[in-house]
Amino acid sequence: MERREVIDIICQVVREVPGAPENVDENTRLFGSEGFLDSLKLVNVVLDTEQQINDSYNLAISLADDRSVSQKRSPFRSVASLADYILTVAAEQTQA
Amino acid sequence: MTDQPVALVTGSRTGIGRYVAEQLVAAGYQVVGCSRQPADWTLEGYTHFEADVADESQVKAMLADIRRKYKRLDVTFNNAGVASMNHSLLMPVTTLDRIMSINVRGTFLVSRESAKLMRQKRWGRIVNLSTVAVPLSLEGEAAYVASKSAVEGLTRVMSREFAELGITVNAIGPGPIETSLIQNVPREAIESLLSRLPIHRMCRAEDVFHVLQFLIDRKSDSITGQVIYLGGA
Repeated sequence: MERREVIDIICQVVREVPGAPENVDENTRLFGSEGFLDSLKLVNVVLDTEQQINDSYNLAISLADDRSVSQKRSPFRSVASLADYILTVAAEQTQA
Repeated sequence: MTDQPVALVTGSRTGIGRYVAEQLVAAGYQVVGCSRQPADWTLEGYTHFEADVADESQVKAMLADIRRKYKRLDVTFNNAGVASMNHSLLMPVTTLDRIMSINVRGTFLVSRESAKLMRQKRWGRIVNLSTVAVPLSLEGEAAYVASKSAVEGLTRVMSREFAELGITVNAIGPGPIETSLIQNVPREAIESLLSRLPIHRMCRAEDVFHVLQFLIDRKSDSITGQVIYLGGA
């Protein structure tokens, strides 16, 4: 799983969200300070991203677990941080 | 995507689940059912999964299959459940664990995974099965009543959480029905329960399906977070 591919998947999902910025890239802020997602839109982005990852890599990952929601620096703050979190979760899962 | 509406019925091998699955097929639904054991019946328009609703990976696999095959899910009926009649002082904690696992964990998992699929069309109906034993605080059913109280709690909270996704969540609480769930319950206990209801007769699977039909109707989109008891409880 390449970071670039994961970023592309997230950007594709985020572009579909009503109210998304015109240009979505890895620096796009998602949730929290300067983020454009409210909690319901975040739920949809997380679920759509999980599904796309599942379809693309045949890998069922759960992004909204106790760890992700309790992290001091939320993995949902930007496209880049979400991509990094996905890579971490996917690596742990494939090693398990 | 299939034009036919798709329904998932858990615990569909026997009893209410089987009846509801058959009726939904007759009503034009593509029906997916599940139970821990294989079904000994088949029906065109019905697909059976061997899946334990309390097992997260099995539930996820079943819903992933529905998504791949049908690309939609319109109705989920969380019917799978177990009960055990025993005084609290005599109830092994393993019995409590088993009842909570299937009734609460199972309803939670199936509802969560169903809603993920339903939200894509921004439409869905989730109906859970409760029991009149909850409002009657039925003696001898502490674990069952606790588990179904939790199911009612899930119904109310999920109805609020899923409303923005176009999904309603309701529950039906029937009185005793002649199924395997009550086959070991003494007749006197059933009679005693019925005597506490305004309508003294046993419930039938038809009674449950009648309310289910009402709740899953397109016109019922303003009804959510409700528990409808049968028999007048």
